[in-house]
Amino acid sequence: MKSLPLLFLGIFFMLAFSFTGIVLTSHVQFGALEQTTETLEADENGNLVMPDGEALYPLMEGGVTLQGKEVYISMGCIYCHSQQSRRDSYGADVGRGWAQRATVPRDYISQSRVLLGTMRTGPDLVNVGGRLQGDGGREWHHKHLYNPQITSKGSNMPSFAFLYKVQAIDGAPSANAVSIPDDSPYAPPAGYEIIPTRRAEALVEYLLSLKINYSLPEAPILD
Amino acid sequence: MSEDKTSPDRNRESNIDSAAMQDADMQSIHSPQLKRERKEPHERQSPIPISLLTLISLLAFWGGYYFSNYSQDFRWDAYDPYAKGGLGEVVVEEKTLAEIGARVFRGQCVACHQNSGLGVAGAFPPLVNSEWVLGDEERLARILINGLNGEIAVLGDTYNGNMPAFGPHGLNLKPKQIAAVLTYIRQTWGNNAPEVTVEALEGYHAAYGSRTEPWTAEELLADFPMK
Amino acid sequence: MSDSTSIKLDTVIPYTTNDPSLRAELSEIDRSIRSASIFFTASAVGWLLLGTVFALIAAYKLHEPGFAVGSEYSTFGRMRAAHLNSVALGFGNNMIFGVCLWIMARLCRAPIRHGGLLLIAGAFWNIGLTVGIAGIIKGDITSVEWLEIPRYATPLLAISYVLVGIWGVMAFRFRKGEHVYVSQWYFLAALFWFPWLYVIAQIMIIWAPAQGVVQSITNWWFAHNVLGLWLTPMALGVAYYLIPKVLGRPIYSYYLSVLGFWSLALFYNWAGVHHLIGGPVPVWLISAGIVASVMMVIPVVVVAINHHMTVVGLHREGWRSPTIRFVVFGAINYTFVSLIGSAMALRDVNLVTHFTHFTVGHAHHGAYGFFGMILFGGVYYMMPRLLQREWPSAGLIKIHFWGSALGILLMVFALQIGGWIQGLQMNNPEIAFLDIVQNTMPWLKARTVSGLLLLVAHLAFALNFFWMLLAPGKTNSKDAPTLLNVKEEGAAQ
Repeated sequence: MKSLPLLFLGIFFMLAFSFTGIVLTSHVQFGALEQTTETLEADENGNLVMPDGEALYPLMEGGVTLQGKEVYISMGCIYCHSQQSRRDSYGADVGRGWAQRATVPRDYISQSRVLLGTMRTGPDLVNVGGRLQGDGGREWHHKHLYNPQITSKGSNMPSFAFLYKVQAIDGAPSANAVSIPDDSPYAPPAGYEIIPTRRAEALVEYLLSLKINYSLPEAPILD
Repeated sequence: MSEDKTSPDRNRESNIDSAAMQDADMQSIHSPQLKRERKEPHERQSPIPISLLTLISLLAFWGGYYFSNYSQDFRWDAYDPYAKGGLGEVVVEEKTLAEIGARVFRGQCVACHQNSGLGVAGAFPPLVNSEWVLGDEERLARILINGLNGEIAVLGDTYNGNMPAFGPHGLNLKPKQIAAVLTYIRQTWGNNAPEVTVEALEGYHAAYGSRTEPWTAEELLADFPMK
Repeated sequence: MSDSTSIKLDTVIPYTTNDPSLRAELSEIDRSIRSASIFFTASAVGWLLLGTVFALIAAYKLHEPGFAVGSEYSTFGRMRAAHLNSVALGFGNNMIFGVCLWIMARLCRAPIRHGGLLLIAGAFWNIGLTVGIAGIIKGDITSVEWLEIPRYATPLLAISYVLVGIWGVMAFRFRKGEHVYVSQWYFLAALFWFPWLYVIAQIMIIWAPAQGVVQSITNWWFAHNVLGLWLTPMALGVAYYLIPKVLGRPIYSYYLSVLGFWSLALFYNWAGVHHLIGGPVPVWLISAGIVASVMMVIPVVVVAINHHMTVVGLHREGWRSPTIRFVVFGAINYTFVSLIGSAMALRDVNLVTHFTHFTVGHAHHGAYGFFGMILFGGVYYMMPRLLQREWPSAGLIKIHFWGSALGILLMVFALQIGGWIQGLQMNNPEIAFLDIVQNTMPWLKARTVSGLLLLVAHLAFALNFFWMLLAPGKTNSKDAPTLLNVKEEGAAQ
């Protein structure tokens, strides 16, 4: 090859082509989506509009759940847990009850960092807050993070016990102590209890907040 | 065709003035590593095989065909390559009650009660052979709709937990889904109790759906004692 | 391809024996980049060992989850990211800077000017990376795949890269001679592509994040192109240089070289989105990625033919030369890993392999079995010329080769068979997730064994390397190249 300008131009345009086609086009085409209602209705002109007063989705992230997300990021949870659901006819994501529908770009618009993930050494978590919720879910997550073998025997997830402290029970047991039965091999010594640190509590709140329990016009939840 | 026409010209004029060379230069020029080296590489001009050009044409044809068929007109809101006619005409597959029940169970229940239905000793009660699962249908439906708090004895062991609510004040599952999962747990792992119908669940939903508090085992047993 | 047997003697590249002016030129070039190349390569060896240790910890934890859980610093997620960055940016980039800049300088027939400044770039790179990986372990990991280095360390890496990139382009700018050889196209393109990819990814994901999944799309455009437009062209450039150089036979076809280069540049660019198949991304983007991934068959087959037709009939010479043994192993794996990669992009195959250990096996197959092995070959060729010494031990080279070759093949087989089973089972909702986890255990244990083989190989490599570098006594006295499986002297190295 002797024509150097041609070589340079070629090298430049090849990457410019994919950068434009993949990155810029995506950014322009669906890089500024907004919250919407679960369904749209036709106005007098036949245009689809959002009905008044309906809740908007997806919810914005913030507060303690955002702190929990930072813990999720700093522990590298993404390397074993994805946060995306494929459509029902493609894989068993819906069949396993991980989510009720496929996730779509709009589901992620409020996230400062998107953690789709590419690995499922552990189950998908995009809707884990819809699977485990309330006080029961909170308790489950704390047990599971403290030692996954308590709730999921045979799991290869590491223990995150370093997010918990073992302390002597001072009078009555603390309200937020992780309830591990005394006869469990993972129970603390008698007279001691296991208390989540703020990081553990934030992480669990984040997990409880991960929910795909709403429809979107482009991704309805079907029966 | 193996005539070599592009061999770069290696007969450049010698720009090395031997007298001006340093000792180190002399040494490395005669270093055995350099002496046994070949001259810099070049390429021959062999033509591209016809078979390869054929392969490329076939691949290009396939690529064009695939992309034009499965790109859904570059729409941003099309996520299924095989869907026809866009989102307006989504075909809803009718699922059997058993399949719905299995899905709800895998999604909502396995984390605690486990795929085996045996639960976790000391933490989450078993469903297999459980008197609560196989016994009164309404008592069981209440637990699902409103949740259950506090101590509960199952098969002689005591558990202390937080069963979440799946009714309107909890996860808000539809009566059909709750009926399906109740039927699933009553008829799996060797459990053999009558199915729970959607109609019955609609009735329980109407009766208990507005209650916000979870039940306690005591309350339930007061209304529906174990036989 | 029928003329493979009719390669004429006059197409053999002659030795430099009767060309003192060429030898003088080469020796001047070698000397100009000697310290920088040795520094980069030595750093690469160090990072390789460290990265292997991180890898073993992570691999062991996957089947013994109770191992080293006392501290958050050694948790799986951080060990895995520390491993990836040590071997990709520490081993991979340092090897590239060390070997490819040297080849670039030789092909440009111009000494590197102010080669000492490259040492500063090298220092920045290694300091930046040390800070970055310490940051990952400390918990400042970004959890963006292939961009885990926390943002406070990336400017150091950028400064260093700019210096290296400028030197690479400068070498090209001051080149002599008309003909630009195929290796130079690859090096030049990669030197230009990498910073573009890296800067865009940093901006659109870390510094000024784009909305939603546009981040993920940018992420995989970047991450796959690090393999495709950075590691791959660099390794191909090295192979294109070393195969004719050692075996003395010109590259089979200039036209195939041109076709291979431009088709790689066109298609690899677009392939990255296949990491998002089935994900929350419009289907046209995915289909474009799938088509590009399948079209990658073209450059791969082209390069395979070009290399094969060049080495055909010279297997004995190749087997004796440590350089060629590693390079040919790498080149063969390039063909296999790329064809498997194209297949993995098909929707029906991806349905099984996505989200499983199959992909992990594939990544190692490409990054180590192809890229790593070819660059090892490059080091085996380069070091005797830079140091004017021979490799001290043929035995250690053999341990390195067999440890690496068997190790990587075992790893790929274990992870891909195990991953395939894992994928099939995950697609069957009747099979409980914890059972699937249990079923992957034997394969994960086999992977740890493969990691131990690689560790042995790397220790042998490091020992030989530093022995040669630091204790020249024995190596100076050798007057023949260190060859494998051969008693006689004077063959190609």
